[in-house]
Amino acid sequence: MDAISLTVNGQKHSVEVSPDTPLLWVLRDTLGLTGTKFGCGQSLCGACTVHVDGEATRSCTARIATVAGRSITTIEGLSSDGRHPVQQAWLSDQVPQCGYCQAGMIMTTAALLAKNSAPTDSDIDEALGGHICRCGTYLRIRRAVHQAAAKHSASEATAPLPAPAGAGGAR
Amino acid sequence: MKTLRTATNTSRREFLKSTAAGSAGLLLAFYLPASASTPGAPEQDFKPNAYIAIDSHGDIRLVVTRSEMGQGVRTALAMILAEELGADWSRVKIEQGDCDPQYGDMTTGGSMSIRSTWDPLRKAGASARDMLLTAAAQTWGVTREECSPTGDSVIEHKKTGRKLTYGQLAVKAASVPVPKDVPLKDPKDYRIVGTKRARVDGQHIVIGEAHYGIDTKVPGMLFAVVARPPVFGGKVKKFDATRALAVPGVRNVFEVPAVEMPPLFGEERKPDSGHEHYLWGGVAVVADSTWQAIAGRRALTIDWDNGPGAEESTEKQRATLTELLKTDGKELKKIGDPDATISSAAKTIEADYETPFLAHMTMEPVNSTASVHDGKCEVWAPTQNPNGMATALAGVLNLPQSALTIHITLIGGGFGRRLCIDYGVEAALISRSAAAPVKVIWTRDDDIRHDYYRPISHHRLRAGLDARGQVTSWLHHIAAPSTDSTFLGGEVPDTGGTEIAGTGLPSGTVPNYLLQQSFLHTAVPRGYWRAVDTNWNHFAVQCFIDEIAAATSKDPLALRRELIATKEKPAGGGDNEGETPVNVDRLLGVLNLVAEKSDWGKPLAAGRGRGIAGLYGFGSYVAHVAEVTVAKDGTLRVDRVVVAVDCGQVINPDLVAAQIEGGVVFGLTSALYDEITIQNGQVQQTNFDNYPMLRIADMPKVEVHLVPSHEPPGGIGEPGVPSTAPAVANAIFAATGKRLRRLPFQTQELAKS
Ligand code: FES
Ligand code: FES
Repeated sequence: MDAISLTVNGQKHSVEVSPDTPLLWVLRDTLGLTGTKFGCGQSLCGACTVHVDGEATRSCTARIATVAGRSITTIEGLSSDGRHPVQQAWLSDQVPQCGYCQAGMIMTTAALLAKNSAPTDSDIDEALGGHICRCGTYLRIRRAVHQAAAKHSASEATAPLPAPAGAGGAR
Repeated sequence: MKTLRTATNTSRREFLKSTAAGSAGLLLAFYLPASASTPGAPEQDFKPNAYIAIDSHGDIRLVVTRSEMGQGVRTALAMILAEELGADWSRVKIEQGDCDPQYGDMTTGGSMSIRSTWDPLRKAGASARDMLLTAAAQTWGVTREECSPTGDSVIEHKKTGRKLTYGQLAVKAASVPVPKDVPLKDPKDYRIVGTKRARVDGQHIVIGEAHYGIDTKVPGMLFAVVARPPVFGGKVKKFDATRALAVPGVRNVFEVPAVEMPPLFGEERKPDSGHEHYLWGGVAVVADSTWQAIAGRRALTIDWDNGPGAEESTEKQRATLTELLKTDGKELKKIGDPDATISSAAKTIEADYETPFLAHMTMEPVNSTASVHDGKCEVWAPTQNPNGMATALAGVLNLPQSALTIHITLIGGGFGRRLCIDYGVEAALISRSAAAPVKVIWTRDDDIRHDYYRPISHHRLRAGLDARGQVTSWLHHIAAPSTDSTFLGGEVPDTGGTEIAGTGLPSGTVPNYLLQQSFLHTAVPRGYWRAVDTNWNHFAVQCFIDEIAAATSKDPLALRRELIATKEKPAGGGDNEGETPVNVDRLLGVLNLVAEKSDWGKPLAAGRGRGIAGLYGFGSYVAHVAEVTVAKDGTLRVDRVVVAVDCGQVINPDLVAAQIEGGVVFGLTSALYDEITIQNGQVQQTNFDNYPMLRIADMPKVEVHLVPSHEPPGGIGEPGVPSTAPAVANAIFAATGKRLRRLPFQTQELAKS
C-alpha cells in the first residue's frame, strides 16, 4: 500500500489504502467525511456524487489511484455554512424528505450550474437522470434547480458562485 | 445524554409528572402511546417516554422516541407542542430519545406518529403553559385570570403591560402542581398548526451534516460485511477463509449463527404460525475499512447447505397461487348468500389480478453498528422498531434488557424495512465475536437479496349483477403468503385495503358478499412495505370496480358515487386498526374534489385517458386521478396525478404534500417497473439496474389538494401509495380499452398490432 495524496475541500491528505479502493470509502472511512453517501456502489444512483476538478463524479466507482493529486470537493466543502445557492434553493423549496440522496443531487446540480447557468428541463433530466430519490422528491428538485439557476444568474453580475473547491473549505 | 432513564414511577392514572430538575427549569414527563389504539397511560406504572424541558434561557426541548425517516415527524411534533405551549416556534428543539425498553412501545409505523401523539402531546403542552401562567400570576401577586400567554413564549399581565418570558418563569413553574384537564386551544386560534413551516433538520441535510445510521462513528470501530446464505433458510456447510484473511486490513473471519428470532412485535410465536423466522446467519468478514471487508468477502469460499428453499421459484409460486384460487379459501367475512346470488345473477363479471414480491430499497442501505462488551450491548441503528430489537437482542445475547442501549439514528428511508430488526441483532453478534465495536454495512446487493418482501398475491374477483345492472353479490379470494406472521407470530389474513377494511367499498353496499384468503407457504421472508396489504388488495378492488363500471356502461366515478349513496351511514368496517368506522361523506368528499381538480369527464385526445381510485386507510381519505398517454407501440407515460386528501387536521400542509408526492412516486415505481423474482430459491435482482426506480425525467405532474378539516389528524406516510397503481391501470383502460391486471404493468400488451 503506497501513500496516495489528494486534496479534499482544499486540504491536502495522504492516505495509505490499496489503489483500487473507491474514493467513496476513502472519504467516508479514512477521512471521516460521511456527507457523501453510499447507495449502490455501481454508479447507478448518484448518492455518492462529488466534484473531481469541478466535474460531478461518482465516488463509488472512482478508484483512488485515478484521483490522486486531483482536487475533490464533497458536500461538506461546497460551502462552509450552507449558503451556496443550490443549498439555499433546496432549503427554500423544502426538497429533502429523508435527505439521504440529496448530497449527491446538490453536488450534481452545483456542477451543472457552474457550466450552464440556465438549464432547461431537458438539461436537468440529463444531468440528474442518473440519480435516484427513493422518497420521490423529483418535482421539488426540478423546481429548486430552476430557482438556484435564477438566483445564480441574478447574482452573477456581482459575484461568482462560491468557489466549490476553495482553499480552506474543509471544516 | 438524551437517555430517558431518569423517570420516577408514579400512579398509572397520572398522565403527567413534573420532575424536579433542580434549578435548571421546568421538566414535564409524560407518556406517548405508539398507536392510537392504545391511548392513555400504559397498564401498570406510569413510565414516561417523552419529556418537555424548558430551561431558564427559554430553550424548549422535546425528547421523544419517534424515528425520523423523511416524513418530517420531528418538525410536526415541534409544531404541535409550540402551538399548545404558546411557544416561540424557533426555540423548540426535538431530541431523539434512546430506546429504553421499560418505557413501552416506541414503534414508528402504520402512519401512527401524529395520530397517536396528537392528544397527549397537546395536553402536555397545554399543562406546561398553564404552569407557566400560574408561575407568572404568583410572581406578580395577581389572579391567573388577569394573565395570558402571548404565543411567543411570554406571559403577559394585560392591565399593567408587564411581561415575563418562559425562560424567566421556568424555574418557578417547576414547583407549581401539575394541573388536571387543562382545556386545549380552539383550532380557530391556531397560529402554527396548519401552516407551512420549514423542516427543523433541513439545514443539516443540505450541508451534509445529518448523521444517518450508516454514518455512525464509535472509537475503535471496525467494519464488517456478511456473506449471507443465497437461499432463504440456507446454512453454512463449511468455508475457507485463507484468501480472505490475506486481504490487507482483514482482521477476522467467522461464522454468524442463524438464530431463531421472536415475532417482531413482541408476541408469542403461535404453534401454527406456518412461518419460522431466523436471523440470516452466514460468514462475517471484519476489517479496518468497508472496502477491505468487501474485498475480503470476495475472496471467501463458502459451501452452502441450501435446504428445501432451493426448490422455490416465482414460476412455481405463481402456479401454486393460481391453483389456490380454484379451491375454497379461509372465510374471512360473509354477508348474505353470495354463492347462490352469483349463480342466479343476470350477469356475472370475473377477473384475476396479481402483484409480485417487492423490496424496500431504502436509499440508505441496511446497516447497524454495535458494541458488545462486559455484559453490555450498545446498538446504533436506523430502526422503526427499537422495542422489537431490544426483545430480540436480549434473547439472542442472553442479556437482561437493562444491559441494552439502542440509539435510534436518523433513517435514510424506512418504508417498513426498519420495522425488522435482523440487522441490529446481526451486528451485535458480530461485535461480540470480534470483541470490538463493529459497523456492519450491507451492500445494495445484500440489501435487495435479504429483505423482508412485500408479498406476492393473486386475486379472483367475481361480481353478480341483477337485470338493472345493480351489484348484488361480490366475491373476493386472495391467495398470498401471510405478512403478519413475521410480526405477530401467526398466520394472520392480510385484509387491509379490502372490502372489510380500507375503503369499505363495496362492503355495506352489496347485499351478498364473501372474502376469503388462501395462504402460500414459502421460505421467502415477508415484511411490511409502505401501506402494507392495502397496496395489493386495493389494486384489485379499485380496478374491479372499474371493470364493473365498464361492463354496465357507467362512468367509474358515477359508479363509486352510486355505491357510496347506498351505503348505510356511518358504515361498518374500519381502517387498518379496525376501530374508526369509514365516514362515507368524507370519502365522497375526496372523490368529488379530485374529480373537480382533474377535469374529470372532459374529453382527452386519442391515446390518452384518466383513471380514478379512492381510499380510506390509515385514518385518512385519499383519492387519485391519473392521466396517461399510451403510444401506438405501447409506451406508457403517466402525465399527471391529481390527489385529494382529507387527513383531518393538517399539521403542516407542506409535509403532507411532500408525503403524497413521494407516495405517488413509490406507487408508480412499483406499478411500472418492479418485481422481485425467485429462481432456485434465490432473489435474482441485485441492484437498481435490474430493480429500477422512477427517475426525474419520468416524473409526472403531481397536484395535491387538501380538504380543510379539524377532525383528528389521520396518517399521511402511507395513504398516498395504494391508489396510484389502480388509478393508472384504470387510466390505461380509458386510453386503450385494454385492462392490465398484473403488476408491474406488462406494457408490451398495449402495443397495437
Ligand atoms: S453509490 Fe455511487 S452511484 Fe450509487
Ligand atoms: S430524500 Fe430520501 S432518497 Fe431522496
